[in-house]
Amino acid sequence: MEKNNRSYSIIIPTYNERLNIALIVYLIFKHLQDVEFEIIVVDDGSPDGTQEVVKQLQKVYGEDRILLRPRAKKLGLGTAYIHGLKHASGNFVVIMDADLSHHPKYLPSFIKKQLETGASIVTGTRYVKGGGVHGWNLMRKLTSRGANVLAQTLLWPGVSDLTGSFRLYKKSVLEDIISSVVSKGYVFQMEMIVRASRKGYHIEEVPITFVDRVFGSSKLGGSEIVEYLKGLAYLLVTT
Amino acid sequence: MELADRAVGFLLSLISISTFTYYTFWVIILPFVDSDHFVHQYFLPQEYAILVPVFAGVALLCFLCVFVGFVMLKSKKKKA
Amino acid sequence: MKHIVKIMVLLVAISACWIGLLQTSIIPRSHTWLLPIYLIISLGCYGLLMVGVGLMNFPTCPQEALLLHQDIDEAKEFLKRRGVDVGSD
Repeated sequence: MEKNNRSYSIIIPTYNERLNIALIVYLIFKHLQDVEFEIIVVDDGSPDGTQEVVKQLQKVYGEDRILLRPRAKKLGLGTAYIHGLKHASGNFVVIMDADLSHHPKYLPSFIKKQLETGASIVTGTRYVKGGGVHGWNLMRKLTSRGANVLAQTLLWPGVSDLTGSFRLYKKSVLEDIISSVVSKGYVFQMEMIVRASRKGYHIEEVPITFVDRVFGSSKLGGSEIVEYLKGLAYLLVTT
Repeated sequence: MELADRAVGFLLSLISISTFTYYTFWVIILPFVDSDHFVHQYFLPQEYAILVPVFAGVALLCFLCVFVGFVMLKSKKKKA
Repeated sequence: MKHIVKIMVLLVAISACWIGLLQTSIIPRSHTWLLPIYLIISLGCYGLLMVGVGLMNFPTCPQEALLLHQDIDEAKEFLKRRGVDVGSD
């Protein structure tokens, strides 16, 4: 296989994740041993010293493996990916959350799936066999299912988990779609995958589990629901 | 907790399936049954087959509008 | 084609069929009038059913939380030895 010229850039946006970023870096190095990769931490000026921890990690793992690309203040998720992407040297890009709800042990299955199918995008899905969610209450489950049914019926995206954000992209594909995405927040993830699917990119799925450690941290209030509905309407008329 | 969530899911499925069967029977099959047949006493007259869903739909729509409006108003206040 | 156009086309096609039925009156008129409402009700029931089934089969993974906990302890141990500050949250 042409394994040697494959390299992966893992972009992790952070804000106040000093403990989690250390843990996630350790776990990435543990689970990705025979793969060439770099970790790009895009920190939005966390006041808790996330950047100091990343610098300490650079001493342990090497500055060429962990890149710190900070920004001055909180500027949002979408632009964080664009910022990280500018510094990415790999030909594949993985984006994941820093809060450990995405476990790095699934990275090899993303890579394997991509190798087997040659897909442009491999997205992690929580709603199939082998995947799952932990730490959600009934309300959270209900809104998540409702939102999913609504999106599936209206958009026909061909992907079972639209709002998940653990994904592997071909770098050129990510560059192509990210420039046309305008949404913010987690509608951003949905817009990315819907646009990719409309452009006819080959999308594959792998099961992942999602552990909400800080119980109820991803709370869904009224404003999130309204934002979601707005995003849905926006996607309906623009894609 | 886990089991209760599943039970709620089961309940929702049950409600949707029974509503569907009841309505199908009411609207599609009943007109072909003789009007003096005993099953007619379990159903309201045909015009309710329009009135009830329309009423429910309007109520749902109103609720949705009020909810969205309320949330938007609140978020605007927060920004200001 | 924009997606909303696709959905609109579908809706127009359905209403065309319906008007056709209304004109030809193959089935009694009072019946045809009920059809759109019947369609909407079916759609609502379908949505509710999907939510219910989804909730019923919602995949959960309590064992993953335990595994993650072990991984975190392991990582903390290792990082502490390498001089990375993982003391406090």
